[in-house]
Amino acid sequence: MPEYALVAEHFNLYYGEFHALKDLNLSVRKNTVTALIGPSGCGKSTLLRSFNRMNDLIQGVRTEGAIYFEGKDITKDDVNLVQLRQKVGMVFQRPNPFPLSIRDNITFGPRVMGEKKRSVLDGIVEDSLKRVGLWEALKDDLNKNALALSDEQQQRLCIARLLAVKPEIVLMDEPCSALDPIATLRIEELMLELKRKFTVVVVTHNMQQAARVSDETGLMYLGELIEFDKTKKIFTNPSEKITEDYVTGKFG
Amino acid sequence: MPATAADIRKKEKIIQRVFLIIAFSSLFSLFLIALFIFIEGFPMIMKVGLKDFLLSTRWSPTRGHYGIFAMIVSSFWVTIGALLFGGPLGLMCSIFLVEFASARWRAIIKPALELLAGIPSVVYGFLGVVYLVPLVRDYLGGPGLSLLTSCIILGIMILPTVISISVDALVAVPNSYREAAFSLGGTRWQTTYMVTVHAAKSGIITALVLGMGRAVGETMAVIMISGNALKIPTSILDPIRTMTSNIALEMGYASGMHRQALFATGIVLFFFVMALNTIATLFARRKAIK
Repeated sequence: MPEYALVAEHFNLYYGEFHALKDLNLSVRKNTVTALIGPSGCGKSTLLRSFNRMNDLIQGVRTEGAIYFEGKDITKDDVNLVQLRQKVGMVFQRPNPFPLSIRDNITFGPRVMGEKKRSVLDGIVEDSLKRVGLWEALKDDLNKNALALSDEQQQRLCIARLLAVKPEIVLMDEPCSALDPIATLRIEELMLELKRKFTVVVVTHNMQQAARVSDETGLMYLGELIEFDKTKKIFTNPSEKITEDYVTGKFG
Repeated sequence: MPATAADIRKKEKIIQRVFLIIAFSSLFSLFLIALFIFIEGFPMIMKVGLKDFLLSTRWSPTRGHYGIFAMIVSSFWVTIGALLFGGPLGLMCSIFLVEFASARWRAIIKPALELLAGIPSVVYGFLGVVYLVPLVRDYLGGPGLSLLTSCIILGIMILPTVISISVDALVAVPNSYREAAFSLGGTRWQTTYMVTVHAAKSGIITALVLGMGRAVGETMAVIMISGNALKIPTSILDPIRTMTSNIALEMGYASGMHRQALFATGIVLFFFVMALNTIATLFARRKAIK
């Protein structure tokens, strides 16, 4: 299945007794934007965080089934989490740059991988900032504290910080929910650009956003994946009643 | 009883006043202490001269020499030394508690550390004399009652202060920083020293500075283990006499100018501690603004 970046098979996740994700099957195509939509608490963020094992930080989480990435089941115990997280990176809901300089934010990933050479790190900083469209604005302020940037710039910086570790997949958990509409549009443009080199999976509350940026969309409801198909089909001619009700705004 | 809005407002105002007075009473006692040591000590400084008082090493009050320079130097070194022992230990301990320890370990260690703060300083001094002093004397030489011994014991004594404040600082670091660091492939340790400690920097500095304040003010334990020799230490194995121990040792029989000189030493200590607290507050505030 070389055209798929991530494949989930009969994937279940439990928070203690609570069955949060129920028998999920889906395949994320490479170099596309896949959107996960659904009402709050439906498990879309939990699924996203299963792709890079961020749920491991929560106590009492247990999974069944498999998620394949590069042919390997990443739910198993023998997975190298450090490598996995570098290949499957994540952008969070609220911009969360470290309270360090812009440069140190971007070089964090390369530095934890052991890169020490100043010239290499400088190259990565420039390259990453260029990709997210921040280089021109920030190239003279690389030592400035990242917390002094605007929300949108902070979120772009977080994306740049992620690109610096050369991921295969970029997971985005409602990346625009803290941004104004104009900044949101610009981040969406960035997503479309990113999919040329990376595979993007985005969780969003905003259905219009899913319609604008994604190639495929999955609708989740109460821990189940109700429907997963081409975005156009989901929004114009869904197969399931729940999907239709959700995308037409009858609930959620 | 009619409880009109006006009545309630009146009552609230009375209660507010009462609490204000109570709050001020503690401030007032601070003011009295300051006033008292200044009245007692300041004229003496004027008479001897600030330079002869602060920068002379000759302290023999019966012959009219009131130089406390040796004690200032001793207090300074013992404070720095306590920080060198207690600072890293306390910081590591709080990092362990916040970032690595399981809830069960935390439940055991935290109350134990609070207990450490409750042990009277005379007990620390006693343990120092009985166990540490012979060790230092036998293995490193010198009288054992020394700068080194004092630094080690004081280093332990400042642990509760350093740990509790730096634990608070580390706990206050938003989890989103840690999440971001993990998601970039950072290990727990890399995350801690590259991100979390930086984010908690101002709180940690506050913890260290307040620990120094605690060390410079400690008296009883230092009297017991420092040897109390009146000279500028030239090695860490030399005995020392700090400002606080000098006050405590001589206050019992001092009179006249001698007594005033001890109060004047109190003024110096007062400024010492005030400077440290101001630094701590500045760092704490810098964080709050951010």
